[in-house]
Amino acid sequence: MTLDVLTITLKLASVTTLILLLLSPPIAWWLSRGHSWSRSIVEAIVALPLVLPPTVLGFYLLIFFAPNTALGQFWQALTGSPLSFSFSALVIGSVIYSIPFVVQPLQSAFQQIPIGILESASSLGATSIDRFFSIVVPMCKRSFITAGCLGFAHTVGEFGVVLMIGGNIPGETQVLSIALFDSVERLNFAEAHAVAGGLLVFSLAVLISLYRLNPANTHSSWVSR
Amino acid sequence: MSLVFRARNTMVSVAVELTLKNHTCTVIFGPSGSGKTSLLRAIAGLQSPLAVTQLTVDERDLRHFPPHQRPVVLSAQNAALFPHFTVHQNLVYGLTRRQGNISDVQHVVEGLGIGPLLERMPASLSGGEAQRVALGRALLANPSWLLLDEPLTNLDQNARKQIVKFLSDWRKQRQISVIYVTHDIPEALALADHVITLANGRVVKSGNPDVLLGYEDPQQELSSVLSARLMQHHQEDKLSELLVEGNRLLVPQITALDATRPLYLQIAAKDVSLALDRPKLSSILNLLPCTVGAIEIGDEASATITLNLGSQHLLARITRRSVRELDLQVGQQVWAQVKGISLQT
Repeated sequence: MTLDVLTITLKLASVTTLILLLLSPPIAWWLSRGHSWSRSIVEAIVALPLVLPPTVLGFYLLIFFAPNTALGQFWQALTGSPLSFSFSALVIGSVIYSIPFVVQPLQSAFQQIPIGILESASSLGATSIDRFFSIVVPMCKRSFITAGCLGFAHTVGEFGVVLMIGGNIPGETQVLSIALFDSVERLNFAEAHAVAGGLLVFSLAVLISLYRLNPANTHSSWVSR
Repeated sequence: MSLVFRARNTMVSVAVELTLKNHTCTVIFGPSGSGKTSLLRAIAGLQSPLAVTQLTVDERDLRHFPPHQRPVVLSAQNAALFPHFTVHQNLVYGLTRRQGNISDVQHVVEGLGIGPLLERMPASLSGGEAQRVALGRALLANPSWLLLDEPLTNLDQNARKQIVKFLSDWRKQRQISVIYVTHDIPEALALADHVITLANGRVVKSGNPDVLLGYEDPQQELSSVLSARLMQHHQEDKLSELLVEGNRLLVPQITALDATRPLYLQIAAKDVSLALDRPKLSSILNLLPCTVGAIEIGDEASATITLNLGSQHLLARITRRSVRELDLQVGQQVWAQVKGISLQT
């Protein structure tokens, strides 16, 4: 096992988190503003990766990314290389797989912003984009950090989707969780211990820092005031 | 130049129509649930049960403009300060977005007495302090129409008086048009050029502040309002002499009076007692000869007597027993003894 595995894992988690932090706020914002049929459906789709076996998701993505599909051909024409078994495929898979971990904390934070605060801002001359960046983002700063950390940690820990669509190509699509699987298969327990222990400590460290950041009783307490 | 507003309240199927002149202060008066807040929200462009059919400011149709593009700033009753900003950052939020004047900040901060709060966070403010900040934030946003929804409910009488005075001066100086919602008669009289009373979503009365004369707010102590003229000061007694319908009244000496405005006196009904003959020996200075206009026997021990004093009305609350013992009849001549007068300048 080389350092590549670690680099690819961190790169995948970083790119995925970045995309999720751009993609999720509008979705979470829309979901937080009221109830309707369309919202319930989108909410269910966003939550799907929480309950679906990752292999199911990976299976469908694998088929969807195949070179004979519209997306596969479009990608081939656009970039000159196939989508399946590429790093880009891993990113797309990870974004889908981790989206509930980013959308849900944001959605619940947005729901706690009193409507009167946003109305004041609007009457004082703020456009909707201005309100989002001057009021919503700073008021939900902690939730953005939480959402980013959860998305990152969850991507580092993913296995099923990556196994199905990544192809486990060393130096290209091989990530830590799969390297661990390989080590065990090769009965290289020393290496397996190093990876497993590292992931365990990393995950624990992320969670401890999140709970330090958001102690249960003060979480968003000033938002609901 | 004016603001014209027409709307239907879809919930109680009532139509509302208003035409308000520029550079005036209109006070909207009425009990809770009478539709005051809905009216302000509809003008500001926020969600409201009113379906607006016309809204023009200086003949410009505003109906399809979002709140931030209307020349209107609404300050809500609950202050709604931005919790993640300091008081100072809250104050300048609207100012930077609506081209306010940064040099006004000092003036408003002093006028509202919020200088010591500037670096504080909203969570550490009292209700009254938060209301002052919210008012300052709205003033600094430099609106042509300022809508204030019970902005001073959490302040004590004294602070309220001071701030009303500041607001009154400020809006005249800056030629801001104000629509001010309140329950409070003194506040209304101190500010209003025009008064509108609402009940159940309907405009009941609209006119100069006289429409509040004899106004009964079910949520407040019963009182009547009389208009008066200043005659002279009695320096040695520290009293001022007023004239109400040809009768003299003495009140604690008035200072800093705007002589161009009529004076309004608020008299609580419980502070008025009745006598059949003119009392000869009494510590009560103010005696008014009146005619009994109406007698309304209440559910409890009390009765409310409407007294005619020239063209004005004075309310007295006395016991039912007194009504019987004095044998009061409509049309009877009586003397009203007035214990307490509060003066609204």
